[in-house]
Amino acid sequence: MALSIQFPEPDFKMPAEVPLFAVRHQTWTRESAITLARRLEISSEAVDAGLWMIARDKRAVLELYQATQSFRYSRLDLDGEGRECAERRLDWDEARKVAQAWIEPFLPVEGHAEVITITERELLVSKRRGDEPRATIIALDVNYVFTIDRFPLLGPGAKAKVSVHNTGAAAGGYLFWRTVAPISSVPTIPLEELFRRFSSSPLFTHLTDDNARAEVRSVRFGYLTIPPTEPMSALIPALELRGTISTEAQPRYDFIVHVAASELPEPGRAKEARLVNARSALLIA
Amino acid sequence: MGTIGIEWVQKYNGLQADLSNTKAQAEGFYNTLNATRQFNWGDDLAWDQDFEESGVGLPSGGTDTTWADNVDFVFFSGHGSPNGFLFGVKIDDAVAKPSEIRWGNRQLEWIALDACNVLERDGVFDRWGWPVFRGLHIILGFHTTTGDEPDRGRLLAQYLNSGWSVRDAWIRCCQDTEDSGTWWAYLRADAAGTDTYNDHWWGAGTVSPDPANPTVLAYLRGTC
Repeated sequence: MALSIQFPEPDFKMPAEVPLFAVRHQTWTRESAITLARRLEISSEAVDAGLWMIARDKRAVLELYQATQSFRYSRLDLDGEGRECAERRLDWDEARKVAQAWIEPFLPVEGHAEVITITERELLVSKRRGDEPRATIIALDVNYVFTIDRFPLLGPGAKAKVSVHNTGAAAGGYLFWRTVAPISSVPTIPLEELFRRFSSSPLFTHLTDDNARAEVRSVRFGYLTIPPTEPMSALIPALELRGTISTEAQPRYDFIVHVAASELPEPGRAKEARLVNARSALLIA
Repeated sequence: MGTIGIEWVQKYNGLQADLSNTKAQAEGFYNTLNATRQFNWGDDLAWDQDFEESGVGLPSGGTDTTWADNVDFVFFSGHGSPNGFLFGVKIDDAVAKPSEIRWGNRQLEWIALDACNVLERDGVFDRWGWPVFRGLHIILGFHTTTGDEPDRGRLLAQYLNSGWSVRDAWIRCCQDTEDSGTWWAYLRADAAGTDTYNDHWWGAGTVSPDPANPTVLAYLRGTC
């Protein structure tokens, strides 16, 4: 017997059609790389290193993603495990202010950023078996997500982070982003059909009501973004489902799955239309 | 040049939910890292005993000296839990459990366990701590659930080839491929005269001597 999956009652109404956001491909140039490096007080020029352009001096390194407008900044003069610092407890409000001041100049104009979480970067050290490990919070990570036209951007390719070191300095940060613009509208697939596609996905091929239980706990609509190292031609309308699958061997597998919420072009048609990564492997189509 | 092996599971034969991208993820690592490739076992040919020590734990039929502990870096992609990482066939019991594992007493320096929750914070030293590290430098993994995605292995290899330290490469490839709800983690060992914090892939920077008898274990976690 096929596996029965419980779905929650969605707390939103699926729009019949949604904007299609095209990604404007902008590459880093030597000049734009120099400008950003100088703003971040890095004295050297960026060199081409394949997926990235990298500017590095003794104090910090800047990685510019060649496929997108994304970048990552890291201080090199601060220990990555906080081993040189006194054990000072950072204040969350202070961390948020440091993070906002650092990221503000770089935030994209077409997306709305908000802090989703502040998380602790924690080091545990054990010096003997059985002893209680010593725990140190070495930094607070201020994590940003983006919305565009009030729709959340899902996946790894649109987010930002500032790591505030326990000295109070911004020890690093990144902004993952692609410049986008609405070009048209696309019809969406009804929720019931999206649930059906999810239920018949390869995830459940060998599971039945006799050997497993599955529950979807939350559903939301947004646009899927892929890693900042990869090119993509358009943001992909998608449903994000979070839930749990239980089997005897693994009582709790918490999954996050994305289902394409509009019909994706067949590979041949996508190529003819010069669409890159229109059918991400992250998606159930 | 260092040696590598990979194991991955997409087809769980009803033991767990199937996965879609573990083959691409692990083979991305295998085909990208500047290394000598030693083994690539997937689905029904990926076995928990390949990671386990002979004569240790139950069942005790480990063969790691032929496979996982016979190369410098191993990448596993599949399901996991705090108590081990999971396979799709019961050649042994389909779970590589820390109580059956001793790594580094032959060759292994680094292992990436690209599987949910294996390095969950609470109790991590009791599960994956002292007995497991017999010369092993670092275990890379996740404190939380992680995504079924195809790019992380290739990106890890690209960061390693570019000269990032092993720990920096792992943090970077996790940030590139997960949203900030996912937590990366690693567990590393040190001893007198070792410095695994600054470990690099062979040929791309310094590599610490093996901490055969560790005096300190350090665990770090953060959001992607």
